[in-house]
Amino acid sequence: MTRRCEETIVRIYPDDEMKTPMHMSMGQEAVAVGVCRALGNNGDVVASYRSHATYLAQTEDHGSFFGELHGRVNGTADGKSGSMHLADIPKGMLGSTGIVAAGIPVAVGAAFANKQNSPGRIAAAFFGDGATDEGVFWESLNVSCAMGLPMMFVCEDNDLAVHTRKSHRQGFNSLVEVVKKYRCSVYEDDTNDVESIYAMTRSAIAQIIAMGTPAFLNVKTYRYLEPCGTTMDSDAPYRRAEEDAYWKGRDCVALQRARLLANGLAEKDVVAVENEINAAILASVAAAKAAAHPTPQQLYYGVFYEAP
Amino acid sequence: MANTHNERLKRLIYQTLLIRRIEERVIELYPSDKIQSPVHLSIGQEPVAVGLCEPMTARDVLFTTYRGHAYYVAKGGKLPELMAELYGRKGGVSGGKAGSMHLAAPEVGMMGSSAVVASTIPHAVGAALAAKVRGDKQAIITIFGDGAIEEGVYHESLNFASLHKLPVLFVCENNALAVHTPLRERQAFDIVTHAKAYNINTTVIEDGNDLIKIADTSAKLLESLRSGGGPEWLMIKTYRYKEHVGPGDDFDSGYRSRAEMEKWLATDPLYRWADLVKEMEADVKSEIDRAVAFAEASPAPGLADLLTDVE
Amino acid sequence: MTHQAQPTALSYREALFKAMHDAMALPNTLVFGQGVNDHKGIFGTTTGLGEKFGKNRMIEVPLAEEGVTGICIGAALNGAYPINIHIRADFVLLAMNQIINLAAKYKYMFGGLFDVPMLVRLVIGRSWGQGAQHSQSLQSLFAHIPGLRVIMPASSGAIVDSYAHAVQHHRGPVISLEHRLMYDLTFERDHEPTVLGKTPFSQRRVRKGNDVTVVSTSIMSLEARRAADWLADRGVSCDVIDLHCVSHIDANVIMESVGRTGRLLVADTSWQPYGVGAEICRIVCERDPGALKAPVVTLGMAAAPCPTAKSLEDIYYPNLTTLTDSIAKLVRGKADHGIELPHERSMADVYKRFKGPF
Ligand SMILES: Cc1ncc(C[n+]2csc(CCOP(=O)(O)OP(=O)(O)O)c2C)c(N)n1
Ligand SMILES: Cc1ncc(C[n+]2csc(CCOP(=O)(O)OP(=O)(O)O)c2C)c(N)n1
Ligand SMILES: [Mg+2]
Repeated sequence: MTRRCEETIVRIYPDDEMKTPMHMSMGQEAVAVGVCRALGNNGDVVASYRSHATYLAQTEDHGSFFGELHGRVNGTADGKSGSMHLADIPKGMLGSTGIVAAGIPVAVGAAFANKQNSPGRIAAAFFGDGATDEGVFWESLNVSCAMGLPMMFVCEDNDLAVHTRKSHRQGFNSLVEVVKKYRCSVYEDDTNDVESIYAMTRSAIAQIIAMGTPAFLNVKTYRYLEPCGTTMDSDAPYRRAEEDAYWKGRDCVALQRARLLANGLAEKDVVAVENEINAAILASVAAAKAAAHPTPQQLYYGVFYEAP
Repeated sequence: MANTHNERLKRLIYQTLLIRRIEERVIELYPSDKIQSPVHLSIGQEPVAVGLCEPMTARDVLFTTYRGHAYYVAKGGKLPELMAELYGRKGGVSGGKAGSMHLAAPEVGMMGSSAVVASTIPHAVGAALAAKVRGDKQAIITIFGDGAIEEGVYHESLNFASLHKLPVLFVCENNALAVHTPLRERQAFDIVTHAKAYNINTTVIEDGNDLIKIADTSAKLLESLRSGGGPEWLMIKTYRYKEHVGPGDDFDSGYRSRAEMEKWLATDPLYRWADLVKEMEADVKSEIDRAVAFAEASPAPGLADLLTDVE
Repeated sequence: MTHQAQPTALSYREALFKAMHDAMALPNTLVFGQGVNDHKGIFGTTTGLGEKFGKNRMIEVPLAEEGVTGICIGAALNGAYPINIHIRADFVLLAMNQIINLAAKYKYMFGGLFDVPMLVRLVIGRSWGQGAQHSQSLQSLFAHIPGLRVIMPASSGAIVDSYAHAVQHHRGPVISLEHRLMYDLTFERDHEPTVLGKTPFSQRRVRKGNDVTVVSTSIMSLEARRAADWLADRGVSCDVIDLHCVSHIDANVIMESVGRTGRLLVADTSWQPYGVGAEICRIVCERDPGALKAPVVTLGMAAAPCPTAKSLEDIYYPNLTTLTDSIAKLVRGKADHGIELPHERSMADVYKRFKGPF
């Protein structure tokens, strides 16, 4: 569903009806879907600006998703947020932010609140490998480990911050080796397989609850499209052809489709599900286009706290 | 040989004593309100500063913190200017605008100290970068407390220094306290293996009273920086005798015990070499008297100084 | 990008490239930024300079805004001239400790023992859905702090001259806010505003007039010029002053103009409370409020975070129509001033060849 939503964006973005910078998840969907499904209804998540997959996996709501991208009143925030700030608090999607790493401490705060108020509920922060360059990531890690919070750090490790590889940004050999120095459990995945990520997350959750300490998940993944925007940039100098081929050869959606067929599902049943998804997405896009633009009065709504 | 060893030890003890007695003079003067500036005393920790600075030249650049009196003196800053600065007088090293927390003496390589925890760590990294780009064999040293390690900027600095193999020595003055909070309540990681995971050589000195060991280690590490060996990381365990800020003792306040201090007193060089100290007291006293007299005589800055050096 | 000896016209982007090139030609310059050496080269303003001058001086940095700003300060203290680039001004908020607590105070706090010469380039994003965290115009925040020099170059000439002055002569930290919408605009050398002072950091006169003083910043200076041109054909003569340096304002320039016109409008790129408009009013009120024949008018962003939806964004920012209308009202003293207005819904539509995503 996430993939199809983004494919739809790629198709209709050039129409210029969605005037918002798109940071696409394409290629990386397995991380969000695997983790969010494992959390079920018992998790709060905070995403980065590359939040489409996280939002869709956590809420399964592409109606408000397309509304927001179109800047319409049926969006997640009446069109005020756009692609970088998707949120749905009741569904445990606590927000996404255009400032790298800024959501991480927010998730730690949610974990703190959950520890007090909702035992068993876990907060997860999604972020890229670039976000771990920021001091606030290390502050958040230290605080949540020192306080023993039910917190899950999910690093979507695509080796890139915009166009810069980890080797040009990191003075250490391996992030997980540094993180292992903290009082938390560390998990790694390099399969791009949503079920494997799901299973790993389930063990991490069990560990968090049993030990009362955070977990750090490092999931290797690969971004298909340009860092910001909806086109392929396979020819850009920072790309590596063999890497591109390697990851596209283990595309997470293709992988899962093949598994479903291998498990005995009929091709026509899979196609039926795909068609259902496509039709639902088209309906969402149509609804978004038909929805009203926000009114001028809405410009000032929500700036300050207003007593109910 | 024994004699030169003695000379060296004497020099180190003299400096340690000088710093101790200066700060004790500050304590003595404090009730008079002549020093109107928060003082973070280093009493108990002086050997760390003295040992580290022994092998440094004036070209080696040092960045330190609000707990900076000891480094100012050990790096070679002038005493009268120090006293006048604490007094807030024109004759102070910064004309009274700095006070105790922002000591500096650029002519001997003591850069500006800052009251914001961890904020000078990246300065050292930047200075090391400039030195490296210039091809200059300068060594750059940054001093910080164990509390500074919790700040994100510490991690950013370590990462950058390691990535670019910069000639910077990170020194953690570990008194196991940030204000009144012990290390174990604040840190969920072992700081030594953590620094090592950044591909930085680490060294630990368990006894922050061992002047010679600190000085020898410092010499070795600075030499490694100068020969292009990349960053070094050193932790020295030490103990602060006085309260976090201010002139008093605080063993009755509940967060620590006097017994802890007594353990450290056992190796305190000023007690261990009490006979040497005795011989030096008179010289030290007269040096400090001169500095205090200079401060007392120095005029207060006024309106004409208020808006100078803003930009 | 070709550059002749003395081009007669230069785009803002080319001017930035030239400024970076000329700075790097000096051996002690270090440029720091995320993406300075990638194929996009900070919107083309650093492209190829790493290859030409060395990547040890054109430095690709991790995402560590506070750390890198501190590194710039340390490098400056040790003889380098650092230039730190943030592709959005919003990201520098992570470095406020180093900028405000350290860089701005380093000279004064140590009684003049040190200088921290450095340039921080901040790009203001606007339009096309940049949203609340990629669009802020933070000049007032910086200009509030003693020790910082804050400029908002509004032409290619302003870039070239001011950056050369910063790098070669100025000994303190300079914060420069560049406007993303100007990058593709070309500025003719013969149409550069007149510098009203001794250094390139001085205020500039965009157009001389007698009916109303318009003080503007950054891209609003271009809008003010367009509004003034429009109104000149309709009998209103505007004195347009591009503030350029918002932290150091020559009160005489403002007072001389207001003294002639008796009317003042301030058009800024940011929020009004505690902003540039408020500061200009302070200058006038403290000196000669009697010079004003009518209440002051200020324009800026609506007092809300920036919304993403185009329909809201268009009313969030002032545009040529609202600016022209405000000037006409002020000069004629009534809402139905009878002056024809230009029709333009969104400034971004005009300035852009800019069409997302960044
Ligand atoms: C504080 C901050 N600095 C810089 C940026 C510009 N920026 C946006 S995305 C990005 C790269 C982040 O890389 P990573 O965290 O690995 O996430 P990815 O885009 O690979 O998912 C950068 C530098 C920003 N948005 N926020
Ligand atoms: C950024 C910042 N946060 C908090 C403080 C208040 N503060 C001053 S000293 C200190 C403790 C620092 O501990 P440590 O780094 O171990 O140094 P020590 O005082 O033990 O030498 C704190 C929290 C500060 N000055 N700056
Ligand atoms: Mg401490």
